[in-house]
This record gives sequence, C-alpha cells and structure tokens, in this order.
Amino acid sequence: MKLQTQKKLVPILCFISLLLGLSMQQVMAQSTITGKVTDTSTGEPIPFASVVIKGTTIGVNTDENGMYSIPMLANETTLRFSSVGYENREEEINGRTIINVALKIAAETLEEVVVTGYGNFRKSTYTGAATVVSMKKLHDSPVVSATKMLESHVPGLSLLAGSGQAGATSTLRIRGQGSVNASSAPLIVLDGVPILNVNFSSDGNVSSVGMDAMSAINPNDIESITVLKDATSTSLYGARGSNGVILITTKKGGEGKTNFSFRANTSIDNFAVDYRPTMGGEERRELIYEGFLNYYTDVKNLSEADARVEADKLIDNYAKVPEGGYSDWRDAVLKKGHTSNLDLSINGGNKNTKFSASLGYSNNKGVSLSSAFKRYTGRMNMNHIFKKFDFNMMFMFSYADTRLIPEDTYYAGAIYPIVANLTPSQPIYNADGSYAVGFPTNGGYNPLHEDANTIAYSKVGRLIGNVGVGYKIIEPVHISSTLNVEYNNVREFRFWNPNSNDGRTKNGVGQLYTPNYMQLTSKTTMSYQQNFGKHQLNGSVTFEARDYEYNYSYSRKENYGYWGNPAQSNATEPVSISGYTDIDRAMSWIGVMNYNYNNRFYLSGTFNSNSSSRLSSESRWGNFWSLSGSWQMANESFMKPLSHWLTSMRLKASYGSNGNLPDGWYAYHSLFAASGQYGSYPSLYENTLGNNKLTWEKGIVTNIGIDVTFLRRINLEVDFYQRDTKDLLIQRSLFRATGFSSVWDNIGHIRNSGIEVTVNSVNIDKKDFRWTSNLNIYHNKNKIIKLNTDGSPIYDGRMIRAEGEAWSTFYVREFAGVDVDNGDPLYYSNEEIIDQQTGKISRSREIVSGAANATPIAYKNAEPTIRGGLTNTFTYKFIDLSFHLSFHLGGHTLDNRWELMDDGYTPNSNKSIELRKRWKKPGDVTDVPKYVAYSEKGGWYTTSYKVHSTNHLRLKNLTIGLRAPDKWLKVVGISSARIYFSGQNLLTWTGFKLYDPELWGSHGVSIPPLKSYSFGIDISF
Amino acid sequence: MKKIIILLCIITALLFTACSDFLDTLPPTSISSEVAIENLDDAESVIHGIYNDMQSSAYYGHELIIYGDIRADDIQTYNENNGWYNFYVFNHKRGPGYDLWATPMRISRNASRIIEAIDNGKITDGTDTERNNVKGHAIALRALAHFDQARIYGYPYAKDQGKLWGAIIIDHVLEANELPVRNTVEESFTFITQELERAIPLMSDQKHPYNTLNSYGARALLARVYLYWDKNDKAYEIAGTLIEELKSSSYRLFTRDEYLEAFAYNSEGTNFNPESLLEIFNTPSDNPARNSLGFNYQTAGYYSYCVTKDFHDLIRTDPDDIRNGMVKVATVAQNERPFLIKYPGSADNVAAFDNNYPLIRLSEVYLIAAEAAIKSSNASLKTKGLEYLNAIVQRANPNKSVSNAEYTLDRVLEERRKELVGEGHRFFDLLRNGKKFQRTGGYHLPNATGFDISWDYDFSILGVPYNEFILNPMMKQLGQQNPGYTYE
Repeated sequence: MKLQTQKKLVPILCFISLLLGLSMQQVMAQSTITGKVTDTSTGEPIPFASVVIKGTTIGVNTDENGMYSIPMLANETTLRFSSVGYENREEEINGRTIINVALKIAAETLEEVVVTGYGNFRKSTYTGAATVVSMKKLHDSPVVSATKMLESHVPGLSLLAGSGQAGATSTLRIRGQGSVNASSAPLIVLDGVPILNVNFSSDGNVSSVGMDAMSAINPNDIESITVLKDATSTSLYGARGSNGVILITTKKGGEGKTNFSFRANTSIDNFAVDYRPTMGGEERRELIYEGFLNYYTDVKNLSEADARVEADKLIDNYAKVPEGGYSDWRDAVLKKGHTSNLDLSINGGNKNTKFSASLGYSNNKGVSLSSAFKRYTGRMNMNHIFKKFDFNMMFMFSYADTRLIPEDTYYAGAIYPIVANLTPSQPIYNADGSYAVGFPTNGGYNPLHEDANTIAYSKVGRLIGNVGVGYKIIEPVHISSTLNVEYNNVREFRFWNPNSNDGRTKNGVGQLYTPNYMQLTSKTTMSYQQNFGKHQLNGSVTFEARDYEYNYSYSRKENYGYWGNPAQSNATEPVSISGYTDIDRAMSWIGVMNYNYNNRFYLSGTFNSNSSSRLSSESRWGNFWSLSGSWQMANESFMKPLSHWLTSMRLKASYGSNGNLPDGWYAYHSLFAASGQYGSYPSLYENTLGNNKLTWEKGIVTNIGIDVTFLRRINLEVDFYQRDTKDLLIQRSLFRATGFSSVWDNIGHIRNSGIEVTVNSVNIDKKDFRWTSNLNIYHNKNKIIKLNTDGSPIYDGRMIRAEGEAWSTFYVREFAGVDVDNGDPLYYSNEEIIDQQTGKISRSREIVSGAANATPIAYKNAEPTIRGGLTNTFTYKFIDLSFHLSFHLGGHTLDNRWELMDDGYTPNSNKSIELRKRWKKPGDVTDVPKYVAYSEKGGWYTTSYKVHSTNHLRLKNLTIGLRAPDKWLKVVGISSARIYFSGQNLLTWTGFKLYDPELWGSHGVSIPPLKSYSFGIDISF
Repeated sequence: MKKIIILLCIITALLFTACSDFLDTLPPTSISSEVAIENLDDAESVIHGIYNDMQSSAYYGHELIIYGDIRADDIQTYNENNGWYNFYVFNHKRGPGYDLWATPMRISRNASRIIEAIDNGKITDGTDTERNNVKGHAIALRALAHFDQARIYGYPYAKDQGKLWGAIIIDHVLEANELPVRNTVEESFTFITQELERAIPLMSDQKHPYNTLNSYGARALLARVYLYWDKNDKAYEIAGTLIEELKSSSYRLFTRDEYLEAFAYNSEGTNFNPESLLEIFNTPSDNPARNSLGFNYQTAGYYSYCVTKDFHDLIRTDPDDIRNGMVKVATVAQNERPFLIKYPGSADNVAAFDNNYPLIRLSEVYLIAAEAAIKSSNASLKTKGLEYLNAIVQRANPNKSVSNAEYTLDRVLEERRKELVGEGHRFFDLLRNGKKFQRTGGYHLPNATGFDISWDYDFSILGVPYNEFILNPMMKQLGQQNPGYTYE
C-alpha cells in the first residue's frame, strides 16, 4: 500500500516542480568565494553547513553536495564555517577564491535549525515564522522549567500570571488569545512528538498553583527551543497547533572523542518585588479606629465624643494589641529560598553510532513554609546507521517531588493568609511557644500550625521514550516509523494529622491521588527528496495516530490510630474511593512539500486532515492547509546598486488554516452523571446538554515577513501577522430555566494581529573584544469581532468580552478622583445615551459620588501593547558579561484583593500602605477616599481605581563569567572550564509597586517572581 | 530488508483498518441522556440525584437554610468575614449568584425527566403502584423547587395579593432554546398546590431510611404552602388532619427526654426519625464538607454564625425550657458568644460535616395548624389550634402552657422561633406575616445594629440575576425584575 502511494507521489511531485521551475528566471550570481565543506572523519560533504563572513551576520549555506558560494567585500578577511554537530572553524582568505574546509564533529551544536517534526530547516531557508532560542544563552539562570526561561526572548510569546513557586505552572500564549473555551495553550513537541503539557495536580488545594508538566524536563537536556508561530508551521499539527507550537530539541551526540561535561550552580532566592506591603500593627489600628470614628460621626450622626466612646468599645475586636506585641506574619511564614542544580552529560560516537546521555539533579527550598521541589532526571539519545537503515531512540525519565503551598484563597496557604487575613493584631504563638489558632479571620487557621501538622507531597514520575526506524527505499525516497510512549505516574498525598484544623474532626485524614497519564503516538512518514539542477524538491506524507488515556484514582481514609506513619493502611475508616478512565484519540494525515529554486525562491505547502474523538462522527474530520514562500532578493541583479549597504534581503509570506478542539473531551454528548451518590444510594443526574453539530474551531493565519541584513553586521527581521479564529468554541450561556448554564457551540470570531521585530547585531568584533546585541519587540492587538448569537457580551469576573473590544478588557466603573471637600470617591456616570436621530451611542460624563450611580464600562486592556527584551553580550579575553532586560508598555492589571485597599468595608483584614494617602481633611488632594468603616463608596474592586498600569523595565538576568585560559587547562587535561555569577530579576523599574508588573488581568495573590543570586561552574573533559 | 518494508506496511495498514471505531469514545462516569431512564431503578436513581443536588451547600446543605435565618433576628454572622454577611445586612448586590435561582430549575428538569419517562411508557418494569410512587415523588419535589423559588424571588402573597412575579413554572423538560417567563406569585402557588394534590394520592406512605418525601411529607409541605399563600383554612385542614392521622402511626413528636438527644451528633444520622417528614441526610462519606451548614455553626468549625443576644435572652426567660440546650455559650477567638448547637460537632473541639438537616418536622405541622387556626376567620378552629400549640409548649416545659387569652399570632410566631431556630424559618415567618426585621444591640455587628426594616422593603426578596434578562429578553420586556433591582 505504501509502495503504491510512493510510486504515485514521485511523478506528481516532479510535475509540480517542473511547473514552478519554468516560471522562474535564472539570475547571475555575484563574483564570489566558492568551495566545499566536508566531514574530517568521513570526507563526505556536509549539506546545509553555514558559511558566515566573520564580523557580520551575513552568511550562506552549503547545498546538498556541501558546495557554497559567498560574495565578499575587500575588507573582509575571514570566513567562519559551522554546521550542526560540528566544531566551528575559521579560515582566513588570503586572496583565495576557492576554499575547501573539513569540519570536525563537535560535542555541542550551535546552528539554528528549525525542527518541525515533519522536516528540519535551516532558519535562513524557512518560509514560516519561527524563533529559535539556543539554550546556551539561558543555561546560566537557575530556573527549573525551560518554558519559563523563554520569557522575553521570543517575540510573540507571552507568559501570563504564574506563581513564583518552583514547579508551579505558568500560562503561555503565542500571538495572543485565540480561543475562548478551546485551549489557548501552545502545543509542546519534544524531539518531534507532542508531549503532555497539563497540570499534573489532581488535588484542589494544589491545583490553585498548578503542577507544571514542563518542570519535569531538565533544561540542561535541551539543545534549542523553536517557537512556531504562523500557519506554515502550525497547520502541520492540525488540531493542536492552532495556538502555536513550542518545539524542544534535546542534545544529540557527535562523532569523535567522548566528551564529558559537568555543570553545577547554586542560588539564593527571594521576592523580586516588595509584594503587597501592608500596614504594621499600630498604623493599622489607627486606621481602623479612624474608620469607626468616621462611621459614628458621618453615618450614625454621633458627636465626636460619643463616637470615640463607641470606637473605643470596638477597636479591640478588630485591631487588638496582642499581649506579646504585634505580630510579623511575613517574617514567620516567608524565608529565603535556595536552589541547587547539578548536571553531568556525556556525548560521543563514531561514524555510524552517536550518543548523548545525561543525569541531572535539582533541589529547591521554596520561599514560603515547607514549599520545596526536588528533581532527578536522566536522558539518553542514540542513533545508528546501518546500510540503508537508520535507527534512533530517545529515552528520558524524571522524578520530581514537589511540595506546593496552596495559593488562591486557601486559608492554609501561605501568601493569601499573611497578605489578606492575618493582621499584626493576631498572635502567631501562644505564651507557651505553641502556634496560636482560632482567629476571628482566616477560618481560624494559622498557616504555620497547619503546615507543621500536614504531610503533603506530589511525586511525578515521567517517562518519555521514542524509537524510530527509517529505511531508504530507493535513492530519493525514505520511509520511517516512530513510536512514542509517554507515561506519567503521579502520586499526591495529603495527610492532615489530628492536631491540624482539617484533620481534627476526623482524627487524621489521609488522601491519596494516584492518576496516571499514558500517551501513545505512532507516526509513519514517507519522504522524498531530490535535486534537478537548480531545483530542489522534498516532500512527505505522514500518518499519525494518538491515543491518550487518563486514569484517575483517589482514596481517602480517616481515623488514624497511630499517625507517626501516615500510610493509608494505618487508618481505620475508608471514606471514599473513586476511579475512572478518560480517553482522547486523534488521527491525521499530513502532507508537506518544499521547493527551492537555486536558494533564491522557496515554496512550501502543507495539508493536514485531522480527526478527533472529541467531536461526533458527523463533524469530526477537519481539513487544514497552508502555502508559503520566500524570496532572497539581494542576489537579484536589480539589487546590485544597493549592495554596499544592503547585504541580504529576504521576503516571505504565508497563509493557511488550522483548527482547535474543545477543552472538554465529550462536549457533544448529552449526559446524566452517574458518579454522584446520596448517602449509600447511587444517583443519576442530568448535568450536560450536548450538541451533536459541534465542530472544529478554525484559525486563518497570514504572515508577511522581511529579513534584511545591513552593512553586514545588523540583521533585522520583521513579521506582520493576522490570526483569525472563527467558529469559536464557546460555552453559550443558557437561560437557567433549561436546567443548564451553558451548551457548547461554534460561535464567534476573534482576531489577533501584530508585528514582531528582532534585531541582531555584532557591534564590535575585535581580537579580544566582542559585543553583540539582540533586541526583540512585539505588538499584538486582540479584537473580538463576533462573540455570541445575539451579540451580547460575556462577563467574566471583572472582565468584559464584548464585540469590538479586546479579549482582556476590564469592566469597571470609571473613577474620577476624590472630592476635595468631603473625601468621597467620585465617578463618571457613563450612562448610555442613544441619540434619537442618528442612533449614535454616547456616554454621559457627569461626575457623581457613590459607585451605584455610575455605570460600568469597558475600560483598558490588560494586554500590553508593546513587549520585548534586550540582550547585550560582551566578551573580553576570558571574561564574558551579558545582561538581559525585559519590558512591557501599555498593559494593565486589576487588583482583585480589594479588602487590602477598601475605603472601610472590611475592618478585619490587613490594609495596604496605599491607604496612607487617604483623604483626611477638607482640601486634601488625593486618589484615596476618606476611610469610613463599612463604607461602600469605593465600590470596591468594581471601579477603575483598582486598574493599574504594568509598564515596567526589568533586569531579568545579569551574568558574569570567567573562562580558564587554555594554557592552564592543558596542564590539568580539561578542555574547558568556566565559573559564573548570575542574577535573576535583579532590578525592576515600574510606576505601580504593589505587586509584580509582569502579571496580567485580574490579580489576587500569588508568590511573586523571585530574585535569585546564583553561582555556577561548568567543566568539560 | 524487504521484510522490514513489508512489516512497516503491515503496521500502517493495521492502523488504518483498525480505526473504524477508534475515535468513538464515551465519557467515563456518565450515561447518554437518551438511555438514562429505562427502568424503575434508573428513575429512583434520578430521585436520589435530586436529593444529592438538594444536599449540596448551594441549597439545603447550607445556603437555603441559612438564608431563612441570617436575614432575621435569631442568627447573625460572627463577624464581617463571611460570605453571608451581605445577606445579614441586606446588601444583596454581592449575593450567592445563581445558586438559589438556578438549583430549583435544575431540580425541576430532572423531576420532569422522571415524569416524562413514566408518562411516555419508557419504564416497563415494576407495578403501577411502584411507578406511581416514583412519579408522585418527582412531582412533589418539583413542587417543592417551585415553592422555594417563589418564596425567595417572589414577594409574600400579602403584597398585591400575589400579582407580583413569582416562580418560573417548569412542567416539562425544556429544549435548549425554550424561554419561559416568570409567573405571578398567585399562579405559582396555584401550580404548586395543584401539583402536590396530584402527587399525594400517587405516593406511598412508607418511610424511606433517609426520610425522603412520602405522602405524609408531601401533605405537610402542602399545609406549609397554603399557610404561605394565606389560605389558612386550607392550611389548618391539611395540617390538622395529618396530625390526627399520624397519631396512629410511627410518627410522633419527640418527648422532652428525647429532645436533646435528637439534635445531638450521631454519625448514624437517624435521630430525627419519629418527627422527620423530610430531611437532608448526610453521611461521613457524603456531605458538603467545610461548606456544610453544620461546620459553619460549629465552634470547632468555621464559627461563621452565632445566636443573637435577642434570641438568647428569649430562650433564657424560661430556664426550664428544654430548648435552652440548643444554645451554648463559648469563647471563640477572644469573643464570648452564644452558639447554636442544633448541628453540633462530634465533641466540643471536634467539628463534623455530616449533620442531618430537618426540612419538615412534625413539630412544624403542629405550629402550622396553630398559626392557621389563629389567623383563620373561623373562630371554631382555635380550640384545637391552641391544643396543637400547647403540645409544643408543654413538650419543652411541662409546667408551662399558653392560655386562650395568650393565644395570639405573635405567641405562635414566638413559639416557632424557639422550636424551629436555625431550621431556616424565621425570616419567612416575618416576611409572610407582614412583620418588621428588627435588630438592636447585643452582638450585632455595628453595620447591622439598629435595623428596622419593613417586610415589604424592596430588598427583602432577591433580584433575578442580570444575565437572565440578556438571555431571555421577553422577561425584561415584561418588566420581570423585582422592584429595586436593576437589569444590569
């Protein structure tokens, strides 16, 4: 069957290439240096090797036969040769016009290669929009999750709010929010196979933080990360590529001497920002007292003397002076974190067999309570060539043991209680030194007491294995088959002993979640590659099937006789046991074709026919495609006059479609839940209304880009894109009389458009001193074109999703400052006025006091208009220094912990230091209203007073390294050694200082990003 | 070499051919709606599904019961840090969202599923009597759901004689796009009573181990509905007949000696048995956990609610009243307060999640009869009415009784307060009898003290969630938001 397909394929591909070839004109090349690049050990040509003129960013690549030609200026003296898996080599020209070089296999690779999983491309020939990040640049940072390292290195990629706890999830978005209820998270592909990127935690308390699947992967095993952004790249992945794809390529072995390398670093971690500073005991007491005084005089109309009598009676209920003095909860609950990483890797191989292996260990002690993260990883890559066969395998394991402290609004968490509920008036300890409990707030919980009486861990064992075999059938046709197995076993245990608040009732509670995640992916590809003179053609057809099972299991036991050992077997009362299996399956056919004419014109086409078990049999197949091309203009004769400053210029364009699936795996079914119970009686309850017509969400992506090199040193890459998502999967709200809140439907249309700019430059390149810069800036504009059948907006917390507005627009009453005379907050009425004649809608701008008299409006967008990063790297002799800055402009957050900054509504909670600016007497000009107990005039968080700009500039990383001189190394027999100091999130410049400005949307409480000082050493033998 | 090519081809071919049903998956813990109710067991499982929904903290497991207490003068929040504080101070703008609005309609849908399955002959096993019993049970639960929506979102009948908006009548399984509108309070009560009267003859009088609704319970509920509807003669007739009839059954009032034990913690959960006509049954493994009403009352739990000084003083006026045992003074977080121990933990310092909640007790039926008799224009009912009242009064303290001269509506309401405190009645008692919500001094939080609100105050009922008017514009056109509330 496959053979037949192949026979048919060849003539079709030939025909298409012929057509394309005829339509193009041949253009004379410049006078150049030419030559051949070969492998030192085999003498065989190295195709696609990179040849760069030293001191510039201009370069070419060798062809199939290892041949290259490159135009040079008179003052340029040296060529730099490199290729994946080979050591770099520099060659002085010395008047030669033909330079043949042989490259030695290297342990570590450097070349930027776009690995799509359906063919590998050098960046310079790739027609789509992609950014490749070599992990070399990022290795010095002590972050444990590779995806978290990418922030501000990739234009178009944004990291949304996440906790600063090690092992916690972060939310990634590529080119904006494209879906509503379908997933908006990018697909993560490891060595060509999509891997799971889910929150591994089943336990509600920990899910509030999220256990990141990506943190199971050791960043040191990663060679490079490629971020695919446009349809050319993403349509290959059909269903799951619509939100962009993050491709992770692990390190591969090379030919030659076996190479050992060792890395170690250690860091001290602390909050990067002074997080939500609150008032100390006495200051807070004064504020609350003032609130009651104002309440009894203003609201209850008492005389000041009488009001004082009342306030005196009340104050101790809300802001008592504890016997042992005021408490410092932050000091008690928070501490300095500590991280250390150790890695050992080995690379080597010969002509036919190459391998790479590693072991890694990470240990992190978190900044709050007992939070901790420990990880062991191992990896082995091997490939082997035997006659016409090629074999490859990758095996990776990791074992992570995480203690995540609940965030969100959990009383037994760390950050929420100490920021919001536990005031300095509540004692931490009893007189006898034991933990105090039973407070009027925070449910009576003392997080320190709970932490001491809880045993909680989440252990994840992750195994990923790939085995592939390929065979060259006849010269241009290759067939390969890969099987990937991913198995994740999670064991989450929570034990509340009988002293803890949660365990007391039941004399100890032990809960165990042991879900596992099993994914099988099989991929069979037939590929074809041939050159016809100046025409190069390659293509492939792939069939892929995926079977994913989620096996949930949970048990709970209570009443522990002996709880020194909290094993569930030691408890007497089995309370709950449950388990089930969820299945998600998909199949797809993928066709790819690439054409290259004389390294000047490139054309690519892809086709993907995809089906999923998440849709009903009548609507489950979706067809997606893309077309893209690029044109290297600089080589054309009419560009010659510009050649003294314009070194290279490449235009590229792509257009295509992709799809997305509902988050729910069974969204089309109408269902009665059978899992409920009423006491010992089983129950059935209709809880889902289905929609048999539910189908794919469709994305249409256009990308136009230009890649220019000026003056041989400055490379500028600009991409414009428009990404439309249509037939949005939305849980359409239902009138509640139906018995349901929503039903899945395909409604709506969201558009993301934007521009991404990358500038790479070699500023100075002298013998001993080199300075390079990288700047990336991007802008994304999100707009909801259509949302609901009736055009009505969706309200989501304090956000409004309305047609014509951006997805992340706040919905609040507009604050108009504070009345100078009486301290009342003022608002713009913003009442809708419809002009009877024209039908135009405007809004009244009357200033009113009292939030109830003002209408909420769509107000400011959370998404920054401009984001970016700037890296500068300096190398002087054996010293290297680099710093990385990141910035946001035009974004906003909404402060969701209103009680910290209310105008008196909740006298029980902590109070933000912002309230120092409150109005106190007539004539005070301020933005913070008068503080009156129980007052609601501030309208709490429903006003724009709580919306803050996130403009900021942050020094994300600063690294200083010292490399040992070669002379010394030769003596001890080490090939390289380097020590470095690296600082993470060292400085932040921002206007709004109460929490982290990198956050998005509504912010409650979470551990902010950490400031880390780390010290490390790298040695290779 | 060739072998491998062939092998690859076989693998590929296998993948293609083995896939005809590869993509058909079914949810792991659910059943497709079309085949869910096909026999009597299924139908009974749906009945238990309805109770499971009623048991949740969003309904009788917490919210609906506390709603009937926290807004009146018996129970208050311990401090301001509580989700129900806004209800306590009549500030509903940040209420419980959809819980109380949508749960009754979800119950109605599932009940309608059972009724339609039986009416359409989908259930073929069992006898007529068995099928009728399940059907009657479903009709009665649907009526209860409508009653709850009518009394929370509709003004009491006394306001405009029931012409204002009440419940949305849902008497069948709605399609996704069906948009019924609100009916008046009058129409709601008519529907509820007709449905209960239709259900009662279908239902069995057997006691369910969890005290779910049987024909006696449905009759007690019907008496309660008539009392709310201000049809006192009807209410008296049903309650009185039921009391007399039950005298020769296993149902009876607790004795004075049993009283405290009846409300004590019992993990078996059958303490209310002789009196219980309807209750929410929680077990150690099936309960609303920390969100349960009990846990929120318990001093070893969240101590969200305590008893007002007003109520504490009332019950203390007679130290021999057995119901003094429902209140216990405790010091929590430096404050001394009286707490209700009707839903206690298993010990003073050990909280519990699995208390049962009585929804209709025989005592209430006595008090319904007593109240209906005094309100009735028919003076001849009063003798018997007083007898019923005294049954409750003397059970609490055999040395006390109410004389004919003392027998007034206020005296009955006072007795209801003492007897039914914490069971979700007081607020509705004041509301339907046109009384005021008054709070003075005591431990009332500063922002709630000095309350003096008339029963027909706009915010004494809840507003319909705004979004419903967007989804059902006809409701907006008919002006079906409650007075004082806005449409957005």
